[in-house]
Amino acid sequence: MSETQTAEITEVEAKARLLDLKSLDNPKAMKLYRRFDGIIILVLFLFIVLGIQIHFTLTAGDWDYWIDWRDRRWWPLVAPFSLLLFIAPFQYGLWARVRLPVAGTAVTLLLCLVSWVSRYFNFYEFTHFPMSFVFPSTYIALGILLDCSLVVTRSLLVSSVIGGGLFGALVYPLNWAFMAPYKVPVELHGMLMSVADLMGYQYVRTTTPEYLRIIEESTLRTFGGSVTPLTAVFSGLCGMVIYMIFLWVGSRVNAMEKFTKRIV
Amino acid sequence: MATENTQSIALDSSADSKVEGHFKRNRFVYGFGALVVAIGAALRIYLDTMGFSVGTDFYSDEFQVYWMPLLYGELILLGGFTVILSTYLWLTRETDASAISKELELKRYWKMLSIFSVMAIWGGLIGANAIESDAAWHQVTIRDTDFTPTHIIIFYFALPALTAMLVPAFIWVHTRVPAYMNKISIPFLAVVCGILMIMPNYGFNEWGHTFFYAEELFAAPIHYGFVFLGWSLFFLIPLAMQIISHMARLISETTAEGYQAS
Amino acid sequence: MNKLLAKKKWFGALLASMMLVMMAGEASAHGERAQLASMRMRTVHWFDTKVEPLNVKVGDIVTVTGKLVTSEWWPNQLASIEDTVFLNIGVPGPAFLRLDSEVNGVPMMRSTAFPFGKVYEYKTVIRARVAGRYHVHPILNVKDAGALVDKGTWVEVAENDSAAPFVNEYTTMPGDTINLETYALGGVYTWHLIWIAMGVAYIVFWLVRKELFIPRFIRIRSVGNDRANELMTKRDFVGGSIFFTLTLAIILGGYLWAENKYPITIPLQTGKVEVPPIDVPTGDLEIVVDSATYKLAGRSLTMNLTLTNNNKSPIRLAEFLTANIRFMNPEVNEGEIYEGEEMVAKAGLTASVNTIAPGKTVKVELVASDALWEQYRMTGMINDPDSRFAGLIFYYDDNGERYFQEVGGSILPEFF
Repeated sequence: MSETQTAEITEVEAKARLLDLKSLDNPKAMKLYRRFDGIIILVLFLFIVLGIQIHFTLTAGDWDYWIDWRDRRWWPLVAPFSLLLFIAPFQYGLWARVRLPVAGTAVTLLLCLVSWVSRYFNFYEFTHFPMSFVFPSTYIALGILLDCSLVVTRSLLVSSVIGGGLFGALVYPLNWAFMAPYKVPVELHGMLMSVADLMGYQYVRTTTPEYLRIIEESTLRTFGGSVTPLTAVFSGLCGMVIYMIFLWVGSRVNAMEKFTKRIV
Repeated sequence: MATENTQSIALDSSADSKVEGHFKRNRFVYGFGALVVAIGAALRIYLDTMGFSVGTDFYSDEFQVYWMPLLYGELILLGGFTVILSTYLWLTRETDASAISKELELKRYWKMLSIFSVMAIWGGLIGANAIESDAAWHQVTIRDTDFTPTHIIIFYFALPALTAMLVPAFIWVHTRVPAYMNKISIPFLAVVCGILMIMPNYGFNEWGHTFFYAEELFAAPIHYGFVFLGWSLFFLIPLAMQIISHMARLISETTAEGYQAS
Repeated sequence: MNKLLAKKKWFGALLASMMLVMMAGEASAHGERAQLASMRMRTVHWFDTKVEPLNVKVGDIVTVTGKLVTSEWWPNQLASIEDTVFLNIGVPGPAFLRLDSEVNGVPMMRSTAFPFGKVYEYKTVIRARVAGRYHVHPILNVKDAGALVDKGTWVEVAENDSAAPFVNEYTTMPGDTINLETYALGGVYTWHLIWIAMGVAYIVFWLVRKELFIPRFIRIRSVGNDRANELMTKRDFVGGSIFFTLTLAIILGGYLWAENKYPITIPLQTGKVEVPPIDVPTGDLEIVVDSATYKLAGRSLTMNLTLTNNNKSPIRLAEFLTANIRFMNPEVNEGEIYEGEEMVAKAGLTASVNTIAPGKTVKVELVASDALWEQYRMTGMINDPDSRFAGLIFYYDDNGERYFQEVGGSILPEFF
């Protein structure tokens, strides 16, 4: 991974490490370290804002833009899948090198904040949609659960089972607190619609026709409408798997903390 | 943007170099940070006022008057900026790492962090208001050509501007900071290449939109190229660790008791 | 510094040009010229498009009506309108609210399918929401093919006299009257604030401490990865457990609260609806296209047709419609032009024979010619991989009855 993992270290390196440890008691050095920490937080968080926006908007954005996309089958599956994939490599790096279990909360919190800013500017001010139609979902609680499961178990693998599973499973109940009113039934010209469907119909989207929505359609085997819990369980499984896979990706990415002499 | 930086380094490298206080009083970050925020705000206002009023039809005269010159201006500005600055930084490169004192090296690290801060501010701005403007735009208007107003701002300015800062920064770091001299940092290279490749991938995206993908679904596989390239930001963590491992050592050495400045 | 100055200048120029057009406050939803000419000619033929009234205030109703014929010459490589299509309206964002839309009398809240060669009469009722000047286009979104755009009509929406914010009220089936503009936003804000506060608290718990990235990095580097967990303190464990439990409790509480408050909810509704098509009212005129050409440097299309009138009444050739452009025959002078209607060439059609007597077969040269041909980039057909055209010919009998029929075929450019 890095020089810390090599079994044998030179005498010079050993001395330098002692000096490093000593510097932690040196107020002059600590002052600089803290300033450095501040810059890292600023730079890392701002770049995460860019990364998560590119990543999330292009993998699960449509479900997050419109309330009439947040269905029972696809959205609770796609959104956590997309988020866990992005969180995992950061979580791996921050855990392995500095033992800071914050990637889940940081990514979901930053996504939430930046989504509010972006929805306001782009969907409310720029294209005139009411906020009630385009507000973002929240995933912060899931990020906290993911991080806390790592804090408590101190194992990336176990936390991917507990945290990854909960992250996938709890999307719907978490958002239901404020999403439920949009699923109240209304009637329009003799047809049944939810309030969300009605808004999707009324607030014209020229190139987002009704059929474009990737949402649940009834099947012969949707017995008794038990779609929500089944999706939650499956999404939990997907969460575990994708989180593990991308933790591995993170381990490979972090192993590349190297220099090369030439590009090719 | 890094011109200022190199010049100032070149000017005061021999002067009394203070190890402390390089960020608090860092006019580089405040100055250029304010500049990129101002550019972002100006483009945002321009998009808001001119987007729907004169920007919906490429074939209209107004579009040719108000949007195409902006596009050409952006391309010339960014192209010129990247090429000239990169060439200058390369031609003035330093190759003898041993000639650089620890104080100067540390000072350059702080400068490097300043450059990253400015790029991060620009990156945050893109994330906070540029990216979804394209989503909002496409989902309410009919696609006419590749040169829609939101593309002119995001694809031909915002993201290339990030590259325009990253490439010179990459060259500067690899020719001025001893730990990086005469070799190449893999995580840094990955970040630069990932962001750089967004532009060629844009070609694929538009080709696909004129061929097999007609819908304005944002979470569509045709856009996954951008997603994949966005993953290059995963390399920020190893890059940060790489910087920390060298810079922290420098700090601990230069602040140690009995350290004699060279 | 020079670079900075140059940037300032550029910035100034930008602001100046911005100021220039601040006055031009109109918004359009174009796209009618962008698609390839042959695609516009061979997909759907929109006609009788009527938008009224053209001057309204915020809150007023505007009705868009019209008809369309789905082309028998639909390009094979294009996803078919016979699969999935949605009747839409082309305005920049929700400048209007859609209150109602129907095709052949069937409500069109959902998507449907249109078989080829049939007539569909549509009606969309919209309510002005944001002041401005808008080019209102009827649109069909065809799944996997894209948007088919009719010509636009300018509608001027003035500010409402009252200063009150726009209200969009509706009564739900449980009987509550709600304003969709702000519906349930209180809950959305509250819950988001709760979670943002939780997230910030967690981040603060971790990032506001004396030793962060660098000191922790140094410690781990010094003691080795195997002992890195020594950095995790008891306080961290307790804090993590509290956050974990509290988060789960709030999720559960919020869920139960919402279930209790909104006991009746339904899933999102979707699925296609069926529309009965109407047959094209042909008036017993047999049309054979012998040849068709267009002038590359000019602005005209010429068709050589063989027409046989099997009707009992003489037939007058009144209009040719293609790519939404109406070429009207001034010699016949029939066909209504609506207020604000665009893309009409009032004297755009010349026929070598205007009236065809019953039972007669004649060869007719139809020339559709107008500046609109160029303006709407129809000469761009030379850049098209498939040079074929289609259009509707409108004709009238003695009783003033209107008939129309689709013609189409190969088309050749004339270079000189």
